Amino acid sequence: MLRKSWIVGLFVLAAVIGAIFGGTYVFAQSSYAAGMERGGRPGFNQAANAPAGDAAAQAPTQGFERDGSGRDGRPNERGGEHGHTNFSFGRGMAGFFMSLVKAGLLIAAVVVLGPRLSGWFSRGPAAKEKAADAEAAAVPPSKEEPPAPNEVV
Amino acid sequence: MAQTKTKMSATKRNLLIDMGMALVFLVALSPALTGLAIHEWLSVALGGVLLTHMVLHWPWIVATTQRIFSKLVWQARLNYILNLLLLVAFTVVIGSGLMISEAVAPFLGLQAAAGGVWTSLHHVSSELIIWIAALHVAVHWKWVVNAVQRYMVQPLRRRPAAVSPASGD
Repeated sequence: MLRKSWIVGLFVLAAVIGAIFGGTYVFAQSSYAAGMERGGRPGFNQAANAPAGDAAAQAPTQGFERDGSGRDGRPNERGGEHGHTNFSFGRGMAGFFMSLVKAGLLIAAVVVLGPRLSGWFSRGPAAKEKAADAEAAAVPPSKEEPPAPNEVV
Repeated sequence: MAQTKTKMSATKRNLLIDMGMALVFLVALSPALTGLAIHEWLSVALGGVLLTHMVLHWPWIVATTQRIFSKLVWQARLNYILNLLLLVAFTVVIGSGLMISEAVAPFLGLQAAAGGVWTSLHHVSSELIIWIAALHVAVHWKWVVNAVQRYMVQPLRRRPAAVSPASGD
């Protein structure tokens, strides 16, 4: 029944996904995650550095304003929020193909090496020993013993 | 005239869903390609398709879960672990994306949390998904090649042969 009913599957999967997200939420609220946000330095004295941080935040931004307006009324090319998510066809296509290349390389590596690894895993110790013996026996005699200096080959 | 409906085979249905999912996933990975709002809605839709994908494979999930600690070939166990990691990574990426959302959360009347940890989790999990999903595809590579051959390449090859007698008149 459990195996056949897709509605049971839907509820169980929803519960599992809820549990995973709940775990992530608890993690995000933890002091460990807060430490990660500060750079992951244990014992980082935030209180002592707060005034310096506030002063830096209030300081003039040398032409790159946080509202994206830039110097002399020109659009701010480097500043602004969420630069990586603003629409840009070139940057978007580059990201798309980069992900495709990364995934493609890993797939190619696994597809090429997988059968060899699979064969290696599925062979027992005796079979591996036998294969090693066969490999050793396959070495031509001429390579095992070099001819004597006076010997006519 | 009575019309007979041909039922799509499970393999063909899975192939179409998986290919669509892979394409949407690659597009969603690059927010600059679509802009933020489409990126967010596309990712929510991808979550729905992922759930459908898992429900379609529910019998396999139950059978493997029941045998995971008993006798099971190592390929099936590896596949199960990869799928579990993918589920965790996708839940984290979509969940964290909703937490920092600027289009979906306001549309649903929710207030997004400030960046920080959620942004880091979003970036780390999206990067991890590329690698785990690639391994997932690699493990099923034979199935992918066979299904593409059967449902995409062969019908294309057959079509000109079927057309040629009529066009040769």
